Amino acid sequence: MANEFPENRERTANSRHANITSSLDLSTSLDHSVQTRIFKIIVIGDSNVGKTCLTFRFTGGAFPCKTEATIGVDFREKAVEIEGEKIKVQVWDTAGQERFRKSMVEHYYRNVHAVVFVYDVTKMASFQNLKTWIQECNGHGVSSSVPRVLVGNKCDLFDHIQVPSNTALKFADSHNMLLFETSAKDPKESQNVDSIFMCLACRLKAQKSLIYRDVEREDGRVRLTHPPDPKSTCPC
Amino acid sequence: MESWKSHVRAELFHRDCRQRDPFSGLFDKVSRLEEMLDFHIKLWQSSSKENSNSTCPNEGGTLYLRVNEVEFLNQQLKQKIADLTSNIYLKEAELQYCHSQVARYRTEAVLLAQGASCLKSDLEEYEYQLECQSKELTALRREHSTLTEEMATTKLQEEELLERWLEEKKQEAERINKHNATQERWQRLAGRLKKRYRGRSRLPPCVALAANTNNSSDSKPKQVEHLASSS
Repeated sequence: MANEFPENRERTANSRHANITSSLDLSTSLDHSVQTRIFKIIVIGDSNVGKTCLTFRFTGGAFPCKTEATIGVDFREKAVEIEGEKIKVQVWDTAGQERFRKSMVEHYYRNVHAVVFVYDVTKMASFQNLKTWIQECNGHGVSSSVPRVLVGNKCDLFDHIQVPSNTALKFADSHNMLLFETSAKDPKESQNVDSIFMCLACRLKAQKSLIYRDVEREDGRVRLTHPPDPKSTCPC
Repeated sequence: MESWKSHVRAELFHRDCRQRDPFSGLFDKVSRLEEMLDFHIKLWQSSSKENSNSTCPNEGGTLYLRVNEVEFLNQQLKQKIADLTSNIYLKEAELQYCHSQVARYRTEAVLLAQGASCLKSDLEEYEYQLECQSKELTALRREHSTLTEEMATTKLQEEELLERWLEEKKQEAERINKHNATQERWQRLAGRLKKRYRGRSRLPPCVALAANTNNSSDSKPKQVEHLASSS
């Protein structure tokens, strides 16, 4: 019995040490797992408005020489860092032609985090069809809290512009969207293209932070785990 | 009527019937006789003025009439000769013109014959070409039908491939959506675990130790299970 005490003490110490080590491991692994979040952003619009080029410009940093009609969907990813957090922006480049998308529409809108509506500034019809795209988006139960942006592509074709900026701006305002007019082809507009997706990523990050706070409230502890950083690195 | 007169009359009638222009000889003769009669009357009148006292024509008068008649006939013949000569010149000119025309037409005929032979050879060539082309057309039609069939097969294959591709894309999209959902669920779970761990690490060491010793090994899975079920 006399020998049992030191043994017990030693065992307790060992178990404490093991607990601390396992807790540290758990903390590290949790930190690691929480690091990379995925934001699913879908890009929709009429065929031949430049959805593929836009997504390629954002993810690949270049303008594709030759593109063909997207069949179904193309997945593109880009890892970005916002306020020290690594985020994976998962861009779904959807097909514009009805025959290439009809069986996939449900998958586009499932758990989508943000929607990018694209139109061609040199084609009025593509702008007029935006209503249909928005209706389709709403019809698939995409919440109004899901951020949406409007992108007018092919701004480099100055002489052929059919959609005036004012009209597009009014439309974007009426649907509570941000408007970007850009060109995937023009290398000078590259930053503008990036800013479309980065802006969405920032908004999504801000939204997600709020959700986490809500989760904490549910636990009965109202506490901000991520105090706002005065030196914010958000590109918005 | 005397027989010789009726004979002459009948012969004349036959002749006139045979002629293209019936009775033209008679009319000519009558007009010539009338002409001669006028001439004789004129001569008679002029000679009667000169010899008003003589009542019947003598032999000299008959000669005079004869001479004048011959002269008149001579004049007429001269006129006729002149007319015929000019007519001959005219005919010669016409003949020359006809010769030139004949020569021209002959040249033209030669040229036309050459053209015809050329056209004939062309026609033969074209016929040969047509035959070749018709054969080629038949071959092309056959090829076209083969190609059309192949195209239909290819289109069918393309449709099938497209469907397969779409199906694969659909599956990929489903997989990615599932992965996203799992990732999101895991992150939420990991976030809660992390917060729970932080809250636990802030407790006084003795409480934490008691909690650790009480729960020792099975506490974490329970938490995980609890969180997983709540999420």
